[in-house]
Amino acid sequence: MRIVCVDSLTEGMVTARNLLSSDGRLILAAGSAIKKRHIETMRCWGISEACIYQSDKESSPVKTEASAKELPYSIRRKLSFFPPSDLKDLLMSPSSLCDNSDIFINPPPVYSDLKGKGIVPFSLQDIISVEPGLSAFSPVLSKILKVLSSPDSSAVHIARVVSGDSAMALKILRLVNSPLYGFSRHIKSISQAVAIIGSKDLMNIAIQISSINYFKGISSSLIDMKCFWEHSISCAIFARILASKKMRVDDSYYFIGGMCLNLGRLVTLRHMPEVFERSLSHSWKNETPLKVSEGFVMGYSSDDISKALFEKWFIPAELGEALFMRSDRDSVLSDIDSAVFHVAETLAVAVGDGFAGDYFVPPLIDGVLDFLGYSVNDIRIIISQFKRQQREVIDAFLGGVFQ
Amino acid sequence: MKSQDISEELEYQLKFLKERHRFVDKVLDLSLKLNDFSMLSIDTMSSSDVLKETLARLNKLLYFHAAHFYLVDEEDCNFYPSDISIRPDDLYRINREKDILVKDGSFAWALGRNRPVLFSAAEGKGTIILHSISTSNRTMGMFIGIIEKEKGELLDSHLYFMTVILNSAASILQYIELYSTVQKLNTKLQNKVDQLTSSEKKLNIYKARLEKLVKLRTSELGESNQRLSNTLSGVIDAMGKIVELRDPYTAGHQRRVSTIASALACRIGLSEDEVEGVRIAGLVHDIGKISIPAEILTKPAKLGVLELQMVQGHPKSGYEMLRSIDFPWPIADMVLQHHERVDGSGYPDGLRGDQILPGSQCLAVADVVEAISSHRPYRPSLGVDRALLELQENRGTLYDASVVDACVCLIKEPDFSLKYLN
Repeated sequence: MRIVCVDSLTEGMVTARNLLSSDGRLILAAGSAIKKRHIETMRCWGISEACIYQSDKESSPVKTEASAKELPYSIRRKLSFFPPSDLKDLLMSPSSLCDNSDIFINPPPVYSDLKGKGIVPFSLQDIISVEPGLSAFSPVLSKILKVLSSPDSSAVHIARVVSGDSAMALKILRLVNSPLYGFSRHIKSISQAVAIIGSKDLMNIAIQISSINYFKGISSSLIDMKCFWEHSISCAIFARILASKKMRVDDSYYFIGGMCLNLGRLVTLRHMPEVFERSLSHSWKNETPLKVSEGFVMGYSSDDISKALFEKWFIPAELGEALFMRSDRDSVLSDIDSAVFHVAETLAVAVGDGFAGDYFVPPLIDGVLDFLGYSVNDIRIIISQFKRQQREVIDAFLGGVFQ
Repeated sequence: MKSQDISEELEYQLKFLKERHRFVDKVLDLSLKLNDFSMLSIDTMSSSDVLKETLARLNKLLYFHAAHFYLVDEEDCNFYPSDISIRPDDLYRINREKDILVKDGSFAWALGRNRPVLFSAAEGKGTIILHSISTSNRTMGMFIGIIEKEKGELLDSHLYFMTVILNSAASILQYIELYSTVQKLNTKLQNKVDQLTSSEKKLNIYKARLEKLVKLRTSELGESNQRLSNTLSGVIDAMGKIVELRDPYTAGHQRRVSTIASALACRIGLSEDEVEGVRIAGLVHDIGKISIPAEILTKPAKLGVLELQMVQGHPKSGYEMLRSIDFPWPIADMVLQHHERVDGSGYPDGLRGDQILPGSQCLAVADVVEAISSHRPYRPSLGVDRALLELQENRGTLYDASVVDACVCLIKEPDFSLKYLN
């Protein structure tokens, strides 16, 4: 008996267990021979695999190692931390990768010392105190927040505040009308938008837009802002898809979480570009995760900055906690949100577009896929779903910002 | 200045709220209408009626360039295009888009979300709208529509209404599915009942035939039983006659003993069946005498000791002859014991009281009464009175008291000699 991915099923294989749809319908009873139409049915329902009786004649599944060898070096190197597994094979198969998975990764300059002459990193305390946060940058956002926290706030107020910032209003309309939000393209006024998507979502959108605009001015030879946001959007889409199995309703929560995953790095980059470059360099040279290299170079990591700044970024406390705990083993295996962001980040680094400083794919914590209820074959489908969604979402967010 | 600001603000709010109010009214009205499928009769409508109506409503909301429903097949769970009419070109285009969406997993993604999911068309311009047709616990199908980019002015709330319409449609489709399932079950049940009724009829016929057969067999069995018992009585009669042939003096002795003994058995309260046993035992009780030479049996004088021993061996000989015959009564034992006496003075085994079968007690009394009352080679009849005397003298010692009492009563009956000694 063995588990076979839906793509590798062939006619005549015999099922060893009942094959059920997501709402409990019996697609194929155990002991039946699979026909072509059953494979089609499985795809419709999103069933990624089937348990099959292995006949003696069958050889074990052929691995696709050979084609993986032809992958660019940077991609193979990216997965060097990743323990050999079916998931690794999947992430390295050419069909999983996005078109632009590797083109943004430029090797950083190699420094012989950790800290260059005259380059002194800020202490965590300092950097938090000098970072003004979004409200300073976007007065509209702080006004929205003020209105939201006032007991007699109404959609009217919010709409009025947002309308006051024409750039922001335009962006909100553009986003609300994009396929991401699932509305038609014809929401014409901010007041309509507020009425339809609710003030909470509106604030989330405002935060996303503000943060993209806020960091627009940063330029670095190592991290291109467009690439950075493409990576963030990849995280966001993966988080949204991964969460949909258990949390069917509110997926904008996971989306904004994915977007904010690496905000701390932008703060570092803005205030200490040389220090950040040295962290990248250290990571590349020593093959360590960026977080570890940051520890060597700065004494703390960008995640620590994020954690301190979540409040200033108006990120809800519970979401901030889930983001910060995404690399903590116990949290990832007990808290769905942390687990979702943990897996989303790994998948985004491995196969998503863009680049936010990760030269290496963070290995998955053992058991996290089981905890979320996904098999490796489910991940195969999730990657496929991701690829269909990512282009449209990236256009909706970044269109007009980086041209 | 400040108050002007405030009044401006208030005016803005008022305008906004009025707009909202109108909007909400419209929405409520619309959602009521959208939810109402009552003009379709639930008994007669088919899923394609529902889908036609649903599509008409959706088309009022959004202008679809092309749209179609895919329903889950109850048998194989695949999604098949519904049978409502659509231009072949449009169906071809939607099918192609569907195949691509199924392949890249987006179809399944949309299936899990009860809201519209939009994708740019894979081929040509336009937006694909997918919306699952599902109730809270069951997925009935998928709606796929194509909207051309430049066409139609849409109200933004329309996609919400799409969910409302498709959710109602899903409920009704599920209702129809359940309804037809119940009807199928009913039909099956009716068929089963019909089958049961007809097989019950058949069963009754079989039963009647069987009863007839049993009756026939029973009467056949009765006849053959009768024949058998006739044979038995014939054999017993013949046996009795063999003894009597050799001993003319005791001719009729066994028959008479049999008659008297069975009368006694009846009177001391033996069952009808036991009485019959006593009667048969009586008929053959002296069968053992066959082994005694005829001269001794017919000797008209007192017997010597050896001769007496030979004569006294007849119960044992009779027993040996009879025991191999499978009578329903202890005939052989009754014959063996018919010369035993209550006080143990009898032969051959000197049994006492209760050790002696009641049938044998009856035989003993009947034997002595008959012997005294009839002629013997060595003496003439001593008469019934002498027999009475013998019984009364030996009541309780030689003969069982209750049998003696019964016999005394019997002898005192007016026609005793006529009835029993002839």
